[in-house]
Amino acid sequence: MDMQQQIEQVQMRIQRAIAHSYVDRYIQPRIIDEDRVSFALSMLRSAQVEESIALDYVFAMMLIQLALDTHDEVDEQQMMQQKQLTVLAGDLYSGLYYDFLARRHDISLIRRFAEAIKEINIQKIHLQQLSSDDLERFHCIAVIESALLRQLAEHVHAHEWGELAYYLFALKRVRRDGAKSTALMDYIDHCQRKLQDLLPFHVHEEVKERFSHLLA
Amino acid sequence: MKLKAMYSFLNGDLNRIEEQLKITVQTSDPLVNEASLHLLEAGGKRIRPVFVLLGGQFGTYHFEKMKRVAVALELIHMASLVHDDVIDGAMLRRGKETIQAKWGDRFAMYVGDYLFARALEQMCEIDDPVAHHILANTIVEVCRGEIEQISDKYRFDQNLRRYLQRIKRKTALLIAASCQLGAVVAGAPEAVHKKLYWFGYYVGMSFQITDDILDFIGTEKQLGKPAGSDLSQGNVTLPVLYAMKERTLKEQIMKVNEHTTSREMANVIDRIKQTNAIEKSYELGDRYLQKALDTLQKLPRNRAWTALYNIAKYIGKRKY
Repeated sequence: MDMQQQIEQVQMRIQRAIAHSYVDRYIQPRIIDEDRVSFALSMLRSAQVEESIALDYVFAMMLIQLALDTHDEVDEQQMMQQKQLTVLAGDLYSGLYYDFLARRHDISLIRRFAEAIKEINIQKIHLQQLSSDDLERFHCIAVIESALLRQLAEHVHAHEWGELAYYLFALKRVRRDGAKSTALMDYIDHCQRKLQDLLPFHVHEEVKERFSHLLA
Repeated sequence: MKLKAMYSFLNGDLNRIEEQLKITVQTSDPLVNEASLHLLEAGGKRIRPVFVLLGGQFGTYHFEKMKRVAVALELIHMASLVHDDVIDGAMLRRGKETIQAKWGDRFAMYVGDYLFARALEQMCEIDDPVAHHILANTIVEVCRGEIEQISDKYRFDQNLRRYLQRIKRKTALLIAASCQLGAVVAGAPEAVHKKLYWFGYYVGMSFQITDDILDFIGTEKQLGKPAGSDLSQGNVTLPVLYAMKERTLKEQIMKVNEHTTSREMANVIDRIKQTNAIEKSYELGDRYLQKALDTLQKLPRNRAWTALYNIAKYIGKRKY
Protein backbone atom coordinates (compact mmCIF):
# COMPACT_ATOMS: atom_id res chain seq x y z
CA MET A 1 0.00 0.00 0.00
CA ASP A 2 1.27 3.48 -0.72
CA MET A 3 1.10 6.22 1.88
CA GLN A 4 -2.20 7.67 0.66
CA GLN A 5 -3.86 4.26 0.73
CA GLN A 6 -2.58 3.68 4.24
CA ILE A 7 -3.92 7.03 5.41
CA GLU A 8 -7.28 6.24 3.88
CA GLN A 9 -7.36 2.84 5.51
CA VAL A 10 -6.65 4.30 8.96
CA GLN A 11 -9.34 6.92 8.45
CA MET A 12 -11.85 4.31 7.30
CA ARG A 13 -11.12 2.01 10.24
CA ILE A 14 -11.56 4.86 12.68
CA GLN A 15 -14.81 6.04 11.14
CA ARG A 16 -16.12 2.48 11.32
CA ALA A 17 -15.00 2.05 14.94
CA ILE A 18 -16.53 5.28 16.23
CA ALA A 19 -19.77 5.19 14.22
CA HIS A 20 -22.76 5.46 16.53
CA SER A 21 -26.17 6.22 15.10
CA TYR A 22 -27.37 8.20 18.12
CA VAL A 23 -24.17 10.09 18.98
CA ASP A 24 -23.63 11.02 15.32
CA ARG A 25 -26.94 12.86 15.28
CA TYR A 26 -25.77 15.28 17.95
CA ILE A 27 -22.08 15.85 17.49
CA GLN A 28 -20.23 17.09 14.44
CA PRO A 29 -18.42 14.49 12.31
CA ARG A 30 -14.96 13.86 13.76
CA ILE A 31 -12.01 15.19 11.79
CA ILE A 32 -9.05 12.83 11.60
CA ASP A 33 -5.86 14.84 11.27
CA GLU A 34 -4.24 13.55 8.10
CA ASP A 35 -0.90 15.24 8.92
CA ARG A 36 -0.66 13.31 12.14
CA VAL A 37 -1.56 10.01 10.47
CA SER A 38 0.93 10.59 7.68
CA PHE A 39 3.70 11.63 10.09
CA ALA A 40 3.15 8.54 12.27
CA LEU A 41 3.09 6.21 9.28
CA SER A 42 6.33 7.71 7.92
CA MET A 43 7.96 7.35 11.30
CA LEU A 44 6.90 3.72 11.62
CA ARG A 45 8.07 2.97 8.10
CA SER A 46 11.41 4.55 8.92
CA ALA A 47 11.61 2.36 12.05
CA GLN A 48 10.89 -0.63 9.81
CA VAL A 49 7.70 -1.57 11.60
CA GLU A 50 5.67 -4.10 9.64
CA GLU A 51 2.82 -2.44 7.73
CA SER A 52 -0.09 -4.20 9.46
CA ILE A 53 1.38 -3.41 12.90
CA ALA A 54 2.01 0.20 11.90
CA LEU A 55 -1.60 0.56 10.81
CA ASP A 56 -2.76 -0.84 14.17
CA TYR A 57 -0.53 1.54 16.12
CA VAL A 58 -1.71 4.58 14.20
CA PHE A 59 -5.33 3.47 14.49
CA ALA A 60 -4.99 3.25 18.30
CA MET A 61 -3.12 6.54 18.54
CA MET A 62 -5.69 8.39 16.47
CA LEU A 63 -8.55 7.02 18.57
CA ILE A 64 -6.91 8.67 21.57
CA GLN A 65 -6.32 11.87 19.64
CA LEU A 66 -10.01 11.95 18.74
CA ALA A 67 -10.99 11.28 22.35
CA LEU A 68 -8.86 14.19 23.55
CA ASP A 69 -9.99 16.51 20.76
CA THR A 70 -13.62 15.63 21.46
CA HIS A 71 -13.24 16.49 25.15
CA ASP A 72 -11.68 19.82 24.13
CA GLU A 73 -15.04 20.72 22.61
CA VAL A 74 -16.93 20.43 25.91
CA ASP A 75 -17.91 23.80 27.29
CA GLU A 76 -20.59 25.68 29.16
CA GLN A 77 -22.09 27.10 25.96
CA GLN A 78 -23.14 23.74 24.52
CA MET A 79 -26.75 22.59 24.59
CA MET A 80 -27.23 20.00 27.34
CA GLN A 81 -27.72 16.92 25.18
CA GLN A 82 -24.90 17.86 22.86
CA LYS A 83 -22.59 18.41 25.81
CA GLN A 84 -23.55 15.09 27.38
CA LEU A 85 -22.87 13.20 24.20
CA THR A 86 -19.60 15.04 23.57
CA VAL A 87 -18.37 13.90 27.00
CA LEU A 88 -19.49 10.32 26.44
CA ALA A 89 -18.20 10.09 22.87
CA GLY A 90 -14.73 11.09 24.08
CA ASP A 91 -14.93 8.53 26.88
CA LEU A 92 -16.02 5.87 24.41
CA TYR A 93 -13.12 6.57 22.04
CA SER A 94 -10.68 6.29 24.98
CA GLY A 95 -12.24 2.98 25.92
CA LEU A 96 -11.99 1.76 22.34
CA TYR A 97 -8.25 2.47 22.22
CA TYR A 98 -7.70 0.50 25.41
CA ASP A 99 -9.95 -2.32 24.22
CA PHE A 100 -8.15 -2.51 20.89
CA LEU A 101 -4.65 -2.68 22.37
CA ALA A 102 -5.81 -5.08 25.11
CA ARG A 103 -7.05 -7.42 22.38
CA ARG A 104 -3.60 -7.15 20.78
CA HIS A 105 -2.06 -7.94 24.19
CA ASP A 106 0.05 -4.82 23.72
CA ILE A 107 0.38 -3.73 27.33
CA SER A 108 3.59 -1.78 26.78
CA LEU A 109 1.92 0.46 24.20
CA ILE A 110 -1.13 0.93 26.46
CA ARG A 111 1.34 2.16 29.08
CA ARG A 112 3.10 4.48 26.61
CA PHE A 113 -0.16 6.05 25.48
CA ALA A 114 -1.45 6.33 29.06
CA GLU A 115 1.71 8.25 29.90
CA ALA A 116 1.01 10.58 26.96
CA ILE A 117 -2.64 11.11 27.97
CA LYS A 118 -1.52 11.96 31.49
CA GLU A 119 1.11 14.41 30.26
CA ILE A 120 -1.25 16.08 27.79
CA ASN A 121 -3.97 16.66 30.37
CA ILE A 122 -1.55 18.02 32.96
CA GLN A 123 -0.30 20.48 30.33
CA LYS A 124 -3.84 21.42 29.29
CA ILE A 125 -4.66 22.27 32.90
CA HIS A 126 -1.38 24.10 33.30
CA LEU A 127 -1.99 26.05 30.11
CA GLN A 128 -5.33 27.29 31.43
CA GLN A 129 -3.51 28.89 34.35
CA LEU A 130 -0.90 30.76 32.29
CA SER A 131 -1.31 34.31 31.10
CA SER A 132 -1.37 34.93 27.35
CA ASP A 133 2.16 36.38 27.37
CA ASP A 134 3.76 33.60 29.41
CA LEU A 135 6.46 31.92 27.34
CA GLU A 136 5.84 28.63 29.10
CA ARG A 137 2.67 28.37 27.01
CA PHE A 138 4.73 27.26 24.03
CA HIS A 139 6.15 24.27 25.84
CA CYS A 140 2.64 23.30 27.04
CA ILE A 141 1.34 23.52 23.48
CA ALA A 142 4.24 21.49 22.10
CA VAL A 143 3.64 18.73 24.67
CA ILE A 144 -0.11 18.72 24.07
CA GLU A 145 0.40 18.42 20.32
CA SER A 146 3.21 15.90 20.30
CA ALA A 147 3.08 13.66 23.38
CA LEU A 148 1.27 10.78 21.66
CA LEU A 149 3.65 10.82 18.69
CA ARG A 150 6.64 11.10 21.00
CA GLN A 151 5.55 8.10 23.01
CA LEU A 152 4.98 6.13 19.83
CA ALA A 153 8.45 7.18 18.63
CA GLU A 154 9.96 5.91 21.90
CA HIS A 155 8.04 2.66 21.56
CA VAL A 156 9.64 1.93 18.18
CA HIS A 157 13.03 3.42 19.16
CA ALA A 158 12.71 6.30 16.69
CA HIS A 159 13.74 8.94 19.23
CA GLU A 160 14.71 11.63 16.73
CA TRP A 161 11.21 11.51 15.28
CA GLY A 162 9.85 12.39 18.72
CA GLU A 163 11.85 15.59 18.75
CA LEU A 164 10.73 16.34 15.23
CA ALA A 165 7.08 15.89 16.27
CA TYR A 166 7.59 18.24 19.23
CA TYR A 167 8.58 21.18 17.01
CA LEU A 168 6.54 20.34 13.95
CA PHE A 169 3.17 19.99 15.65
CA ALA A 170 3.81 22.93 17.98
CA LEU A 171 4.53 25.02 14.91
CA LYS A 172 1.39 23.76 13.18
CA ARG A 173 -0.75 24.65 16.19
CA VAL A 174 0.65 28.14 16.83
CA ARG A 175 0.40 28.95 13.12
CA ARG A 176 -3.21 27.77 13.10
CA ASP A 177 -3.98 29.88 16.17
CA GLY A 178 -2.52 32.91 14.40
CA ALA A 179 0.84 34.56 15.05
CA LYS A 180 0.49 38.01 16.59
CA SER A 181 2.94 38.77 19.40
CA THR A 182 6.69 39.19 19.14
CA ALA A 183 7.16 36.27 21.51
CA LEU A 184 5.09 34.08 19.25
CA MET A 185 6.99 35.16 16.15
CA ASP A 186 10.25 34.39 17.99
CA TYR A 187 8.93 30.97 18.94
CA ILE A 188 7.93 30.23 15.35
CA ASP A 189 11.39 31.25 14.26
CA HIS A 190 12.91 28.99 16.93
CA CYS A 191 10.82 26.00 15.83
CA GLN A 192 11.66 26.57 12.17
CA ARG A 193 15.38 26.68 12.92
CA LYS A 194 15.15 23.51 14.98
CA LEU A 195 13.26 21.78 12.20
CA GLN A 196 15.77 22.85 9.60
CA ASP A 197 18.43 21.21 11.76
CA LEU A 198 16.40 18.06 12.29
CA LEU A 199 14.79 17.48 8.91
CA PRO A 200 17.94 16.83 6.85
CA PHE A 201 18.61 13.74 8.95
CA HIS A 202 15.39 12.24 7.71
CA VAL A 203 15.15 11.44 4.06
CA HIS A 204 11.40 11.36 4.03
CA GLU A 205 10.35 13.56 1.21
CA GLU A 206 6.69 12.92 1.99
CA VAL A 207 7.06 14.48 5.41
CA LYS A 208 9.09 17.42 4.12
CA GLU A 209 6.60 18.03 1.37
CA ARG A 210 3.55 17.76 3.57
CA PHE A 211 4.91 20.22 6.11
CA SER A 212 6.87 22.50 3.78
CA HIS A 213 4.31 25.31 4.15
CA LEU A 214 5.10 25.49 7.86
CA LEU A 215 8.75 26.08 7.22
CA ALA A 216 8.24 28.85 4.72
CA MET B 1 -23.97 -5.18 61.08
CA LYS B 2 -22.37 -2.17 59.39
CA LEU B 3 -20.98 -2.62 55.88
CA LYS B 4 -17.37 -1.97 56.88
CA ALA B 5 -17.52 -4.53 59.67
CA MET B 6 -18.24 -7.23 57.10
CA TYR B 7 -14.73 -7.04 55.71
CA SER B 8 -12.78 -5.68 58.65
CA PHE B 9 -10.00 -8.22 57.99
CA LEU B 10 -9.20 -6.13 54.89
CA ASN B 11 -8.79 -2.86 56.82
CA GLY B 12 -4.99 -2.86 56.67
CA ASP B 13 -4.94 -3.46 52.92
CA LEU B 14 -7.72 -0.93 52.31
CA ASN B 15 -5.74 1.71 54.19
CA ARG B 16 -2.70 0.97 52.03
CA ILE B 17 -4.88 1.28 48.93
CA GLU B 18 -6.09 4.66 50.17
CA GLU B 19 -2.48 5.74 50.54
CA GLN B 20 -1.64 4.44 47.08
CA LEU B 21 -4.57 6.38 45.61
CA LYS B 22 -3.16 9.58 47.09
CA ILE B 23 0.33 8.82 45.80
CA THR B 24 -0.90 7.84 42.33
CA VAL B 25 -2.80 11.05 41.61
CA GLN B 26 0.10 13.30 42.63
CA THR B 27 1.78 15.31 39.92
CA SER B 28 3.90 18.42 39.42
CA ASP B 29 0.90 20.71 38.85
CA PRO B 30 -0.53 21.94 42.18
CA LEU B 31 -4.01 22.50 40.74
CA VAL B 32 -4.22 18.94 39.41
CA ASN B 33 -3.19 17.74 42.87
CA GLU B 34 -5.77 19.93 44.55
CA ALA B 35 -8.56 18.68 42.29
CA SER B 36 -7.54 15.03 42.67
CA LEU B 37 -7.29 15.25 46.45
CA HIS B 38 -10.59 17.12 46.54
CA LEU B 39 -12.13 14.04 44.93
CA LEU B 40 -10.33 11.52 47.12
CA GLU B 41 -11.22 13.36 50.30
CA ALA B 42 -14.89 13.36 49.34
CA GLY B 43 -14.64 9.71 50.31
CA GLY B 44 -16.96 7.04 49.04
CA LYS B 45 -17.43 3.44 50.03
CA ARG B 46 -14.47 2.16 47.95
CA ILE B 47 -16.69 -0.80 47.22
CA ARG B 48 -14.84 -1.66 44.01
CA PRO B 49 -11.47 -2.09 45.78
CA VAL B 50 -13.27 -4.16 48.41
CA PHE B 51 -14.64 -6.49 45.73
CA VAL B 52 -11.20 -6.74 44.09
CA LEU B 53 -9.57 -7.72 47.39
CA LEU B 54 -12.33 -10.21 48.21
CA GLY B 55 -12.11 -11.73 44.72
CA GLY B 56 -8.36 -12.05 45.19
CA GLN B 57 -8.90 -14.24 48.25
CA PHE B 58 -10.13 -17.01 45.93
CA GLY B 59 -6.67 -17.37 44.42
CA THR B 60 -3.10 -16.64 45.47
CA TYR B 61 -3.55 -13.27 47.13
CA HIS B 62 -0.58 -11.07 46.34
CA PHE B 63 -1.24 -7.62 47.78
CA GLU B 64 0.99 -5.65 45.39
CA LYS B 65 -0.96 -7.00 42.44
CA MET B 66 -4.33 -6.54 44.14
CA LYS B 67 -3.39 -2.98 44.97
CA ARG B 68 -2.75 -2.08 41.32
CA VAL B 69 -6.09 -3.44 40.17
CA ALA B 70 -8.01 -1.94 43.08
CA VAL B 71 -6.45 1.49 42.55
CA ALA B 72 -7.07 1.30 38.79
CA LEU B 73 -10.75 0.46 39.27
CA GLU B 74 -11.30 3.17 41.86
CA LEU B 75 -9.59 5.77 39.63
CA ILE B 76 -11.71 4.73 36.65
CA HIS B 77 -14.77 5.07 38.85
CA MET B 78 -13.61 8.51 40.03
CA ALA B 79 -12.89 9.64 36.46
CA SER B 80 -16.37 8.59 35.42
CA LEU B 81 -17.90 10.48 38.36
CA VAL B 82 -16.08 13.68 37.33
CA HIS B 83 -17.39 13.33 33.77
CA ASP B 84 -20.87 12.32 35.01
CA ASP B 85 -21.06 15.56 36.98
CA VAL B 86 -20.42 17.48 33.75
CA ILE B 87 -23.12 15.40 32.07
CA ASP B 88 -25.62 16.06 34.86
CA GLY B 89 -24.53 19.64 35.55
CA ALA B 90 -24.21 18.54 39.19
CA MET B 91 -23.02 21.13 41.69
CA LEU B 92 -22.56 18.86 44.69
CA ARG B 93 -21.36 15.32 45.24
CA ARG B 94 -21.32 13.81 48.72
CA GLY B 95 -21.93 17.28 50.06
CA LYS B 96 -18.84 18.76 48.40
CA GLU B 97 -18.61 21.00 45.37
CA THR B 98 -18.07 19.03 42.17
CA ILE B 99 -14.95 19.61 40.06
CA GLN B 100 -16.98 21.21 37.29
CA ALA B 101 -18.84 23.48 39.73
CA LYS B 102 -15.54 24.62 41.25
CA TRP B 103 -13.32 24.85 38.17
CA GLY B 104 -15.59 24.55 35.10
CA ASP B 105 -16.52 21.92 32.52
CA ARG B 106 -13.31 21.92 30.50
CA PHE B 107 -11.17 21.54 33.61
CA ALA B 108 -13.33 18.63 34.76
CA MET B 109 -12.86 16.92 31.40
CA TYR B 110 -9.08 17.17 31.74
CA VAL B 111 -9.09 15.91 35.33
CA GLY B 112 -11.26 12.95 34.33
CA ASP B 113 -8.95 12.08 31.44
CA TYR B 114 -5.92 12.49 33.68
CA LEU B 115 -7.36 10.06 36.24
CA PHE B 116 -8.24 7.59 33.50
CA ALA B 117 -4.61 7.68 32.30
CA ARG B 118 -3.36 7.18 35.85
CA ALA B 119 -5.69 4.20 36.18
CA LEU B 120 -4.30 2.59 33.03
CA GLU B 121 -0.75 3.18 34.23
CA GLN B 122 -1.55 1.27 37.40
CA MET B 123 -3.25 -1.47 35.47
CA CYS B 124 -0.25 -1.80 33.16
CA GLU B 125 1.72 -3.11 36.12
CA ILE B 126 -0.38 -6.23 35.64
CA ASP B 127 0.99 -8.34 32.84
CA ASP B 128 -2.12 -10.38 32.23
CA PRO B 129 -3.94 -9.99 28.89
CA VAL B 130 -7.14 -11.54 30.29
CA ALA B 131 -7.33 -8.91 33.03
CA HIS B 132 -6.83 -6.09 30.51
CA HIS B 133 -9.38 -7.58 28.17
CA ILE B 134 -12.00 -7.77 30.94
CA LEU B 135 -11.39 -4.21 32.11
CA ALA B 136 -11.24 -2.69 28.62
CA ASN B 137 -14.44 -4.41 27.57
CA THR B 138 -16.15 -3.23 30.76
CA ILE B 139 -15.11 0.39 30.14
CA VAL B 140 -16.48 0.33 26.59
CA GLU B 141 -19.75 -1.27 27.68
CA VAL B 142 -20.21 1.20 30.54
CA CYS B 143 -19.78 4.10 28.07
CA ARG B 144 -22.26 2.57 25.68
CA GLY B 145 -24.65 2.16 28.63
CA GLU B 146 -24.37 5.83 29.52
CA ILE B 147 -25.08 6.83 25.93
CA GLU B 148 -28.11 4.51 25.97
CA GLN B 149 -29.34 6.17 29.14
CA ILE B 150 -29.37 9.52 27.37
CA SER B 151 -30.99 8.17 24.23
CA ASP B 152 -33.69 6.45 26.33
CA LYS B 153 -34.68 9.58 28.24
CA TYR B 154 -38.44 10.23 28.15
CA ARG B 155 -38.82 7.11 26.00
CA PHE B 156 -41.78 5.48 27.64
CA ASP B 157 -42.18 2.79 25.00
CA GLN B 158 -39.12 0.84 26.19
CA ASN B 159 -39.49 -2.66 27.56
CA LEU B 160 -38.12 -4.43 30.61
CA ARG B 161 -35.31 -6.01 28.61
CA ARG B 162 -34.02 -2.60 27.55
CA TYR B 163 -34.09 -1.39 31.16
CA LEU B 164 -32.18 -4.45 32.37
CA GLN B 165 -29.58 -4.07 29.65
CA ARG B 166 -29.11 -0.44 30.62
CA ILE B 167 -28.61 -1.07 34.35
CA LYS B 168 -26.30 -3.95 33.52
CA ARG B 169 -24.03 -1.57 31.66
CA LYS B 170 -24.55 1.31 34.05
CA THR B 171 -23.86 -0.50 37.33
CA ALA B 172 -23.59 -4.27 37.26
CA LEU B 173 -20.67 -4.67 34.86
CA LEU B 174 -18.16 -2.68 36.89
CA ILE B 175 -19.04 -4.56 40.09
CA ALA B 176 -18.86 -7.87 38.19
CA ALA B 177 -15.47 -6.88 36.75
CA SER B 178 -14.19 -5.85 40.20
CA CYS B 179 -15.04 -9.25 41.70
CA GLN B 180 -13.66 -11.12 38.70
CA LEU B 181 -10.46 -9.11 38.24
CA GLY B 182 -9.29 -9.73 41.80
CA ALA B 183 -9.60 -13.46 41.21
CA VAL B 184 -8.04 -13.34 37.72
CA VAL B 185 -4.99 -11.46 38.97
CA ALA B 186 -4.71 -13.88 41.90
CA GLY B 187 -4.53 -16.69 39.37
CA ALA B 188 -7.82 -18.31 40.41
CA PRO B 189 -9.15 -20.98 38.03
CA GLU B 190 -11.47 -19.78 35.26
CA ALA B 191 -14.43 -21.60 36.80
CA VAL B 192 -13.94 -19.57 39.97
CA HIS B 193 -13.38 -16.13 38.44
CA LYS B 194 -16.35 -16.56 36.13
CA LYS B 195 -18.59 -17.37 39.10
CA LEU B 196 -17.32 -14.27 40.84
CA TYR B 197 -18.21 -12.30 37.73
CA TRP B 198 -21.78 -13.61 37.90
CA PHE B 199 -21.98 -12.97 41.62
CA GLY B 200 -20.93 -9.34 41.04
CA TYR B 201 -23.30 -9.02 38.11
CA TYR B 202 -26.33 -10.21 40.10
CA VAL B 203 -25.41 -8.09 43.11
CA GLY B 204 -24.98 -5.07 40.83
CA MET B 205 -28.37 -5.62 39.20
CA SER B 206 -30.03 -5.97 42.60
CA PHE B 207 -28.19 -2.89 43.87
CA GLN B 208 -29.37 -0.72 40.96
CA ILE B 209 -32.96 -1.93 41.17
CA THR B 210 -32.96 -1.06 44.88
CA ASP B 211 -31.50 2.35 43.98
CA ASP B 212 -34.30 2.89 41.48
CA ILE B 213 -36.92 1.92 44.06
CA LEU B 214 -35.41 4.15 46.74
CA ASP B 215 -35.64 7.07 44.32
CA PHE B 216 -39.43 6.79 44.76
CA ILE B 217 -39.79 5.81 48.40
CA GLY B 218 -36.78 7.56 49.98
CA THR B 219 -37.02 10.98 51.59
CA GLU B 220 -35.20 13.99 50.20
CA LYS B 221 -32.91 13.87 53.24
CA GLN B 222 -32.01 10.22 52.68
CA LEU B 223 -31.56 10.60 48.94
CA GLY B 224 -29.83 13.97 48.88
CA LYS B 225 -32.25 14.93 46.06
CA PRO B 226 -36.02 15.18 45.70
CA ALA B 227 -37.88 11.87 45.52
CA GLY B 228 -38.78 10.89 41.95
CA SER B 229 -35.78 12.74 40.49
CA ASP B 230 -35.07 9.91 38.06
CA LEU B 231 -38.48 10.20 36.43
CA SER B 232 -38.37 14.02 36.39
CA GLN B 233 -35.10 13.74 34.47
CA GLY B 234 -36.67 11.32 32.02
CA ASN B 235 -35.05 8.13 33.33
CA VAL B 236 -37.55 5.33 32.92
CA THR B 237 -36.78 2.92 35.76
CA LEU B 238 -38.29 -0.38 36.88
CA PRO B 239 -41.07 1.01 39.14
CA VAL B 240 -42.20 3.23 36.24
CA LEU B 241 -42.27 0.32 33.81
CA TYR B 242 -44.41 -1.73 36.21
CA ALA B 243 -46.67 1.22 37.03
CA MET B 244 -47.32 1.72 33.33
CA LYS B 245 -49.20 -1.58 33.26
CA GLU B 246 -52.10 0.47 34.61
CA ARG B 247 -53.63 2.17 31.59
CA THR B 248 -54.71 5.52 33.07
CA LEU B 249 -51.46 5.92 34.94
CA LYS B 250 -49.55 5.04 31.79
CA GLU B 251 -51.21 7.94 30.00
CA GLN B 252 -50.27 10.29 32.81
CA ILE B 253 -46.66 9.06 32.96
CA MET B 254 -46.26 9.39 29.21
CA LYS B 255 -46.99 13.09 29.50
CA VAL B 256 -43.96 13.66 31.77
CA ASN B 257 -41.35 15.87 30.13
CA GLU B 258 -38.73 18.51 30.95
CA HIS B 259 -41.49 21.05 31.64
CA THR B 260 -43.55 18.96 34.05
CA THR B 261 -44.00 20.97 37.26
CA SER B 262 -42.95 19.61 40.65
CA ARG B 263 -46.60 19.54 41.72
CA GLU B 264 -47.58 17.44 38.71
CA MET B 265 -44.59 15.19 39.38
CA ALA B 266 -45.56 14.73 43.02
CA ASN B 267 -48.98 13.52 41.86
CA VAL B 268 -47.47 11.04 39.39
CA ILE B 269 -45.08 9.71 42.05
CA ASP B 270 -47.92 9.29 44.55
CA ARG B 271 -49.93 7.34 42.01
CA ILE B 272 -46.95 5.12 41.17
CA LYS B 273 -46.50 4.37 44.86
CA GLN B 274 -50.15 3.39 45.15
CA THR B 275 -49.75 0.62 42.56
CA ASN B 276 -47.93 -2.65 43.16
CA ALA B 277 -44.94 -1.33 41.14
CA ILE B 278 -42.65 -0.92 44.16
CA GLU B 279 -43.51 -4.38 45.45
CA LYS B 280 -42.94 -5.97 42.06
CA SER B 281 -39.64 -4.12 41.68
CA TYR B 282 -38.51 -5.44 45.06
CA GLU B 283 -39.47 -8.93 43.91
CA LEU B 284 -37.23 -8.66 40.86
CA GLY B 285 -34.40 -7.15 42.92
CA ASP B 286 -34.74 -10.06 45.35
CA ARG B 287 -34.60 -12.54 42.50
CA TYR B 288 -31.27 -11.11 41.39
CA LEU B 289 -30.05 -11.17 44.97
CA GLN B 290 -31.05 -14.82 45.30
CA LYS B 291 -29.16 -15.61 42.10
CA ALA B 292 -26.10 -13.92 43.60
CA LEU B 293 -26.40 -16.03 46.73
CA ASP B 294 -26.96 -19.20 44.66
CA THR B 295 -23.81 -18.44 42.67
CA LEU B 296 -21.92 -17.94 45.90
CA GLN B 297 -22.92 -21.44 47.04
CA LYS B 298 -20.82 -22.85 44.21
CA LEU B 299 -17.67 -21.10 45.43
CA PRO B 300 -15.24 -22.43 48.04
CA ARG B 301 -15.87 -21.20 51.58
CA ASN B 302 -13.40 -18.82 53.14
CA ARG B 303 -13.62 -15.52 55.00
CA ALA B 304 -14.04 -13.64 51.73
CA TRP B 305 -17.01 -15.90 50.95
CA THR B 306 -18.66 -14.89 54.24
CA ALA B 307 -17.94 -11.22 53.55
CA LEU B 308 -19.47 -11.45 50.05
CA TYR B 309 -22.51 -13.22 51.49
CA ASN B 310 -23.01 -10.50 54.11
CA ILE B 311 -22.45 -7.69 51.59
CA ALA B 312 -25.04 -9.20 49.25
CA LYS B 313 -27.54 -9.47 52.10
CA TYR B 314 -26.78 -5.91 53.17
CA ILE B 315 -27.34 -4.58 49.67
CA GLY B 316 -30.68 -6.35 49.54
CA LYS B 317 -31.86 -4.80 52.76
CA ARG B 318 -30.47 -1.30 52.42
CA LYS B 319 -32.90 1.55 52.94
CA TYR B 320 -30.87 4.41 51.44
